[in-house]
Amino acid sequence: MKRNFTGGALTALVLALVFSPCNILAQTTINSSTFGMMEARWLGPGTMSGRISAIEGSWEDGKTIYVGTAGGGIWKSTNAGASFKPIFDKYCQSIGALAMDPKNAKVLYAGTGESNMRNSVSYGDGIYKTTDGGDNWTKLGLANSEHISKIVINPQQTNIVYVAVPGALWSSSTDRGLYKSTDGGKTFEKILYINENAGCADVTVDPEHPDTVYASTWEFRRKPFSFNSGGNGSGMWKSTDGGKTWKELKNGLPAKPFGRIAFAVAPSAPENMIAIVESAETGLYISSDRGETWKKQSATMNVISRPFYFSCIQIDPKDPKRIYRPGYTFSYSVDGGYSFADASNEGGWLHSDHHALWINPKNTSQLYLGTDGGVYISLDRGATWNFVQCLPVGQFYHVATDNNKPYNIYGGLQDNGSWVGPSSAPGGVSNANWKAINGGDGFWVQPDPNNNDIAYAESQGGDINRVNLGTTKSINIKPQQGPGEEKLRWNWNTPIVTGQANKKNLYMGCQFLYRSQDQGRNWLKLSGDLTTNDKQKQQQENSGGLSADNTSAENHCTIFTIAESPLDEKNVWVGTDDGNLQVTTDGGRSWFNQAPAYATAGIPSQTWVSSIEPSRFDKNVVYATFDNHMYGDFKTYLAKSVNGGKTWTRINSPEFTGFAHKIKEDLVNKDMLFLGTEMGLFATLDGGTTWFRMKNKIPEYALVRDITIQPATNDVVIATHGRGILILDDVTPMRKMTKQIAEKNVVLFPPAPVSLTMGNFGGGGFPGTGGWVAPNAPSIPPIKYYLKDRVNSGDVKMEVYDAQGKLVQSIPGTKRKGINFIDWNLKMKPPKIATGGTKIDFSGFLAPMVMPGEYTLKLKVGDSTYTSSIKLMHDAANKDFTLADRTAQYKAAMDVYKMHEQLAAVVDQISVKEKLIKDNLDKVTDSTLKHNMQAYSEELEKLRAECLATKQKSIFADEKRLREEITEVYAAIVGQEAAPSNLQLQRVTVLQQQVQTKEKSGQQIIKKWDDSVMDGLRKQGLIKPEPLKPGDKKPF
Amino acid sequence: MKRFWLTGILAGLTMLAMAQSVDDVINNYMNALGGKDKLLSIQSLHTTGIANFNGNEVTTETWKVQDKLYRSETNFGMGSFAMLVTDEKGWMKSPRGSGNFDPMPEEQVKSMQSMLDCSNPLVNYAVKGHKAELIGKEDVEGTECYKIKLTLKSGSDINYFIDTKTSYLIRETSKGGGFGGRGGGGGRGQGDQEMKTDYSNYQKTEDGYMFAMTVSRGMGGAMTFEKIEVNKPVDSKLYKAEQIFFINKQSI
Repeated sequence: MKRNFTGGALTALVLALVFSPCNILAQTTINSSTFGMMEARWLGPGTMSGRISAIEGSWEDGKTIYVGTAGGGIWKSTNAGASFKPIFDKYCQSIGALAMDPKNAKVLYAGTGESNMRNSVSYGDGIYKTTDGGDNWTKLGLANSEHISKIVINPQQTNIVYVAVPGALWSSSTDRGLYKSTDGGKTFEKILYINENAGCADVTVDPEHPDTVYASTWEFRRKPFSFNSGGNGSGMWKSTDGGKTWKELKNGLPAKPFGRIAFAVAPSAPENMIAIVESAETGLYISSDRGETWKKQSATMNVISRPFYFSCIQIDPKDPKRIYRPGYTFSYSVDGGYSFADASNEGGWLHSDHHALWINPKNTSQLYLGTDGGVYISLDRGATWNFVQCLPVGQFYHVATDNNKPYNIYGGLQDNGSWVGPSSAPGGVSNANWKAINGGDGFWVQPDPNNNDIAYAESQGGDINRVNLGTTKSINIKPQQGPGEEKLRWNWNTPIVTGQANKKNLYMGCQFLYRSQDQGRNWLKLSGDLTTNDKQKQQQENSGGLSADNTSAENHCTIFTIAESPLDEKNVWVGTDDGNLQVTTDGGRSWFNQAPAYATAGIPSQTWVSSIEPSRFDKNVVYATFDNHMYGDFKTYLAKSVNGGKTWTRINSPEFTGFAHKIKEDLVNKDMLFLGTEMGLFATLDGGTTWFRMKNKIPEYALVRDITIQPATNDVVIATHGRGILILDDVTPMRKMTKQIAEKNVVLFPPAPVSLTMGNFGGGGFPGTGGWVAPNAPSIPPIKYYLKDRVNSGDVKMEVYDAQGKLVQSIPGTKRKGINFIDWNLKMKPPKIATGGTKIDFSGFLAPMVMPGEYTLKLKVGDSTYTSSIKLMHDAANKDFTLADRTAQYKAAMDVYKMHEQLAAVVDQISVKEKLIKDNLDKVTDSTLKHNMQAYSEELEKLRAECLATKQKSIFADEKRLREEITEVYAAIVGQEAAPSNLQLQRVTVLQQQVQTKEKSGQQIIKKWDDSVMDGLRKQGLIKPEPLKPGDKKPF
Repeated sequence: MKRFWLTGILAGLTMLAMAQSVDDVINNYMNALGGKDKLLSIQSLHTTGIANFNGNEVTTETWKVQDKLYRSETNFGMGSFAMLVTDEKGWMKSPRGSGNFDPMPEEQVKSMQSMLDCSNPLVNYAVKGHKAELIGKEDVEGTECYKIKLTLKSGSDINYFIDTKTSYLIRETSKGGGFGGRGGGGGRGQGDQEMKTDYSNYQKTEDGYMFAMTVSRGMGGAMTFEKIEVNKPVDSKLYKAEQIFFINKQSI
């Protein structure tokens, strides 16, 4: 019976699917497309870029360059690096390797999951391929590889592809190893596998004998509190049968165990190889017999430093003796690795920490280098470098804003210090607008809420400074170990947080929580050790494996997040990197660990508490995110408590991808939340019941580390770890969106009152000269409307009427699904100006701004009209432009406006008469009439030449006639926020007289010639009599 | 047994959804515009259109003759711009030029000759020597579309985005300096700059032809056609690289 019922229900469901699709499709779901034109601005900066993990260029043209980034996807240049565009924004943003087909430059493979295995490295989801230069991508496979370090293509049979998969960083995995495809990536076979802890780090083929394949395997593992590079699984391998069989290369190499091995084969003499072998005595080794025997070379510290992180070594395509070692700095050898020199900083500093190098095979002096701070180009074989300033792929950890107008954005960048930059600036936000305020790796930066000149910034391990933003001088204010206290444990990414309820509070934490109320001059310890204080997780001095590596990146049992309730300064939350979630409600006198409570919600213990968001609407409500990826668990953990943390409920969604970094509650709508994860930005409008991925010009799998909302502008400011700062301007429409609104076909949102302005900035003198320039937020808020679906049939436009019902402006509307914007510049229609002549006159684009008042908005969508109104106010904040000034400006502007239209009427009439003469002159047989017509035309043309420029064609010629004279004063009056000057007004009067003179001249010419010419044409039957109708005005 | 039946139906539905070939999509697109025969019957076009920039009106008049002529004249109040492409040569006239019709570079002429197609390069694409590939479905500003890559016989690519619900073409993109529009399709010549053209406001003319009456090109604003005439005689002087009078604007 039960079975029958189930079957019947299924049948009904299927029938419903088949026959009633409309009912099902009629549900309008709120998702990113609901918000249509609300698209993020990419603020950059490009002044400090982010880590570059792969570079591939075109062997075909030498100027098409693909750049793979640690967290910003793939960027393509077709002009050798003058400009770049992202081409991978729908996919995983962490790129490990790129490889171009040696026979078809349109074919490119992209391995996701960077393999520079530092603590903050992201992960991938497999290998992708494009066959059209990046326009379209197909995911091929290796979905569980997590990290791909290299892709090599057989130069003779390009369907044969080798993929080196180091594999999972944080867990064991059987998906590691060297993979081979013989069908262009459709299928892969694992051809070299050591064990679940050792993957393949590097691979290459002999260009002369492509069945000879070399590979290095690498045993490595990270834990939240340690790193190990090295083990018996590491080795150097060679196959001469395309990977069917392998032999380990040992002869001349150091004693095992090895760590990571980077190596290269000389393309022009492939019997020569070079390798950097991490071992107890890490060294540089060369072989001249295809790897059969090796010989150790002396090497500089840079050549052999930090092998787990610097895994790139290359040999010039044409010169087997010229070797490049991108490492901590850039080293090159001209003698096959016997000696090395370092790049010069002449011409500019070359950022440290190098991971990728592409040598242009068409011009081997031209090199592209990928560093922790972006891409550099050398034209002299690596001796000196130029920085590419147009790649906005910075890796922010945190973001904050101040309350200036326009507000400033503060944040810290991986390996690129701490920065402040404006949200808008004259000409757009350029690299030059950003200011470096602190060095090292940057993390938290907090502006002082009470002092616009001060910010707090840090470098790794909690080295906090109070920075004077004017001078950038800084004072170290890091709390110090007290008598009898344990050594302080500062997270690599130590939290610095200003108070939400009490803006004087400044917090930071090691294992203890500190608070200062005097800008860090004095600190109060608010707690005991809030971590688990597990000594097994505090052995960082032994971290690194074969090569010691202790940079504070593995510091553990530390405080990782701090949040003061916006409703009560005594209610402070602390999350640690070892799973504790502590709360005090009495300003730190007592603390309660809520870790057991959240664990009952299904969140693993010892998880990093990555963010805590106490609600600003209800003191008992708090949200938190948890990050367990360092235990190999990439699930998205988000939870909510409604009783001050006593119990927790996990919030989940099938939309979620990536481990969670940040939960942010809206400032106005308590049900609107944003979630940032390692793979995307998500939003909910119903308190977390349903979520959608934000795609609004936001890379779909962006690494979203932090989110803040600027209270005055309602902008959502997003810190990404690979795409810099993204700003979603004014999210008010999101706050107001409901299912009921979303179900309506069209909604015109009533605009808030607007101050009349010509914008926040002047035009500047010159366009930008390169680098990354972000557009500004709109100076005038756009008028917003919602369309349930894209309008394919029928037009959309907005009409604006003044209080008298006069149409003052008509603006075409966009038709996309969701929220649409109409930008009205608050001006009326420009005047009709005299047409023709040899010069472009820009008055046709200039219009006076309308006066303050109530204006009616009519949105016309097809045959339907939707009405609202907008209140325009005088901008009282502009003290240089009073209401009296505005009134005087408007009157003068309209006087000149009318003058333009008067002159246009004169010239139009000339054109009408001249056309008539020109059309008929050849047909006229009467010689007197012909003569009169020619004389008439000459006088008209003479008048036209007095009305507008007709002679000089050069754009640099300065022929000025009456139209141009009017435009000069018109542009001056309408183009600025100022009352007209006395001489401008005087000039208006003079020009009015001149226009009247031209009108009279026209009348006289007409009077002199028109009747006789028209009569003559009628007599010849060339025009029909057209008697004037009653009420018609005679021309002129 | 019932489970197999249901599975079969669901599988069939899935296959129906998946089974769209590139020709199915193009056929549906042509049907939405009145059918292939109707589209192929267009041998000449004459359009007048208007764009609005903050109240300043820009008028454009175009003439097309299948495989022979493309001519556009744009008047923006204080200046004008004209373009003439035939099956042999091309010219442009702009305020920044000599003041006359200046010859176009050969490469540009070649890329612009796809404008001589009165219907659309998609229509009868194989006969025209083009190749079409259905890339898949793609979201265009919230609207689900089929993405078709058309490789013109000249070697240039155009991506077409066709609304899966209405089968209307709503966007096309191409690299370089090509121009879109019915009969459009760009070409290379200006690097890797992507040209985007959006189509909307589909309406049927009195003689039964369906056209997108509004065409938007990025920063170029939206042009709305006021009049579209099909298969009306085209004056032979339009083939000449000379300034002519605008029909609805006086210009000397």
